[in-house]
Amino acid sequence: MVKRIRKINGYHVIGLIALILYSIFFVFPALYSLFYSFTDWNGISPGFQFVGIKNYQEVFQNSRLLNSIKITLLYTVISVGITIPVSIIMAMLLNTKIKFQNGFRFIYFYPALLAMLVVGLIWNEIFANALPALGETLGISFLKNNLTASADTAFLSIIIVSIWQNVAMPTVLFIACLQSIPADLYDAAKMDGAGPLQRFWAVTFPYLIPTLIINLIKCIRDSLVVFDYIFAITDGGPARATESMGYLIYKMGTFELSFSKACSIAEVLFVIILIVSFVIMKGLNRKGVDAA
Amino acid sequence: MTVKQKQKLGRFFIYLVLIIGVMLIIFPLYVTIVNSFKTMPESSQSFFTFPSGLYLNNYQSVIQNPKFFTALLNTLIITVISIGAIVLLTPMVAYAITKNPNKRFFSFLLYFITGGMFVPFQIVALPLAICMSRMHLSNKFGIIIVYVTYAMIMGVFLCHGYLKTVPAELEESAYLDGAGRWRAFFSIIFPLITPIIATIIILNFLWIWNEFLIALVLMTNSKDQTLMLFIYSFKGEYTFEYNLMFAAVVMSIIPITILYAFLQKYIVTGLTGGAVKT
Repeated sequence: MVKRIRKINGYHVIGLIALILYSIFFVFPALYSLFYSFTDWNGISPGFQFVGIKNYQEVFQNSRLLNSIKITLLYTVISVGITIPVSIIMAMLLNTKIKFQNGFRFIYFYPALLAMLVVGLIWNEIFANALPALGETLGISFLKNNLTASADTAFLSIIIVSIWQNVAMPTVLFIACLQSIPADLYDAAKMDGAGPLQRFWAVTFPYLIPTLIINLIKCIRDSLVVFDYIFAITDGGPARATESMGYLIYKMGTFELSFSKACSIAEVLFVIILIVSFVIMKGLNRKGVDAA
Repeated sequence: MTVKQKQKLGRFFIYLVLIIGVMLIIFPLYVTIVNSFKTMPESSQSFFTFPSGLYLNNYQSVIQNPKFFTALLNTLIITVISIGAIVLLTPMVAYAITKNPNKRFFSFLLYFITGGMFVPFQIVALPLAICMSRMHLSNKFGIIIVYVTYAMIMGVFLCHGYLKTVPAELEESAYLDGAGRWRAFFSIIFPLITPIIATIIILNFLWIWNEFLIALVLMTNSKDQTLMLFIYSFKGEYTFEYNLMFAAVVMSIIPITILYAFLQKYIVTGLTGGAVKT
């Protein structure tokens, strides 16, 4: 017994502290959510009953919940589908020999420093005041109305905001990655008569893959849980056109007294993130060049 | 067209695209700043022009709002204490894991903690709010513990990856000199891993300073309001007074902008170092 206690050293103490903190403040709430997703607890009532998988059945039957899944996936595909290619192009342009290179990079990274909430609130006013005024003067009828006020265009407005901010971070990571590609590879490709596009696919792209995986996973994850922009701009409206899963979980769990249903949507979101992350890692990992 | 002309045309397009991008990025920021110096009527008359005079009343009324100082102070306290604790705890946890690669407890700990990267915060947010209020931790102290805990998920992953590259012989010389385990860590290992510590500080500073959802569900008491909650309150309370909100926004992004202006190189290398190395 004494010998066993002696074996416990400083490493165990710090490991235990980490384990306890993580279990209480992260794992326990996560399991709590899983547990209540099988009940009918509304969040404040004293009692609850087990309802099995009823909440989950409802997720795939209720049109409002299905709508939120559809919006979340569509938002993720469009937002990431534009953000990542744009940031690769911007990184390549910023990596050429240009004047004011540092100044350009300073500005291109700046949106990544801002809070998503603040970006959302700023754009909210731009959609309400700036763009309609611009549409008036330039005669662009599309911009004359507040984009966020119509169910047809509100989704587009959230996409615009997300791209404005989310291009910044991947761009910087891609620049760092581009700098690590040996220049003689390009010379060799040029000698072989490869055009710019061929050079990109044959030389640049394989080197970008490890960074691409990181950026894709991070971007997709952030998009799947999108909350702040919607909270700041549309509140899920108009007519639920922007009600993402992340927003719906919050709304149902707090204002609508459907805590257990909110938990079941959260678990579905978790499974989606797990699947997507593993697919990306498995799918792209084989093709990359290990730059490190 | 000669090769030289072609190159010139290519460079012209590079600058053209980059400058259009810069304008798109600056436009919302420009609108925010100019309108924070205007009155409501002036803004609605001309949203894009420079302010006609140096009108500072928006800033004055935000600063005179006692809630602003409470919020600023809360955010400062929460950010500084959290970062301090994160910088201390995260590398120690990662170090304990690296030093015991064959012990089951520590390899379990590594997968257990870093596995949290796949769990979206939305799963945890609402139950966490309920648990925290039952433990009477819906306050600054509670949110600091939450931030420090959640920072471990990414931090331990980054630190562990970095520590594996540090040769073990280094601290063995310190053991021979009779230094204890943690003294050897802080005097020899810690200085060697400053690049990854810098990454952790920057990532977490931006995250905690700008964090909204956790603060929204935890900080039910108005005396614990953070800067983000304060800024958001303009949307509800004064739906149309966006000039005031813009002034508050400008003041909230000044500290980050100043830090970025002075530390751009370190911030960018810190962020990219963490992601590219692992």
